[in-house]
Amino acid sequence: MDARRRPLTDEDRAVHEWQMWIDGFGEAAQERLKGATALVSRCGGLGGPLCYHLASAGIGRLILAHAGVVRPSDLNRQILMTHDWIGRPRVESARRRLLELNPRMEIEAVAENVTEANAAALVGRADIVFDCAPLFRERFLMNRECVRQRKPMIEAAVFEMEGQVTTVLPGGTPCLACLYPADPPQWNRRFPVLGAVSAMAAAIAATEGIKILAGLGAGLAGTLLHFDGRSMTFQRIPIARRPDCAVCSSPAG
Amino acid sequence: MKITMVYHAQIRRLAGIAEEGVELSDGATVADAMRRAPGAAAAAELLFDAEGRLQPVILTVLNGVPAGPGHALRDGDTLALFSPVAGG
Repeated sequence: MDARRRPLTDEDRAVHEWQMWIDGFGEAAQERLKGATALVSRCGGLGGPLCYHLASAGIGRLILAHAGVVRPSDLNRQILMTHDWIGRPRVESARRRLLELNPRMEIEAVAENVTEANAAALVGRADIVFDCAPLFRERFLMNRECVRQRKPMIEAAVFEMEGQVTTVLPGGTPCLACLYPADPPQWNRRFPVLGAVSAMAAAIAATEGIKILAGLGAGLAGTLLHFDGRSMTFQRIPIARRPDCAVCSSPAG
Repeated sequence: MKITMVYHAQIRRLAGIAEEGVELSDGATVADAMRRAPGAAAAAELLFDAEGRLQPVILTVLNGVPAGPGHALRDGDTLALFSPVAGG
């Protein structure tokens, strides 16, 4: 990951000084973050708080991909959506809330979910991808494009009180198709989840992505971090590439 | 021998429990445990295909490390089953 660095302004330094004090972070890492573009699909219960952390950390540009309008049932977890925005486009609510927090960043709001038609172009415009989509069709598309275009991807997922995150570094780690070599049967895109649990997974994914963009390295490459919010237990599960993976086992992968 | 089965995500919901102890005969494998444990049996529709083969998307983790269906078990082992999850 070699994001283009962009010089900081005095305002940038004033806003981000607390994280620039972190060992190994400093002004260089902040410049890398400011020069970076992230694709987040989608910006709901998981992607929403994730975007909020990327925005507050000072990422330069966000591409948000999320179709549809805000519904009442979004509001238990989709913290970029607000009650007064019900019936209006989700992605515009997200853009509005993120710019309130960080007006210095650029946002490309795409009112579409990731599809076969747009996946290559969306991934192509990003330095890193955060996969927060509820449908495996979208997740596999992003995975395929990240492997093909050699872009890092942070895989985040939740269910009920559990969450998991892993980092895909094409050419080095397992990809999503290594973990799930087939379309999961019986997956229902509407599932039980607590908003705070989504936010836990989002914070872990954001931390991992920020470290990669800032040049601090990845902590979840080849590792699936799973947590159970009921017992508050965390475990790191080593995962391996599949020699026969349909996506990443080819010479290009 | 006795092992502990731990269920996650959709498997846990179908099993109706988070974990259970299971008595198995010596030489039993991961696949044997998944067929014998009452909780896993309750989630069989998620764990196995129509021919009774383990679904490749189910992650089977033995004592913290992924292990295939043919892996032999030992007394005191913990076998955790994870079903795929996504964003939301």
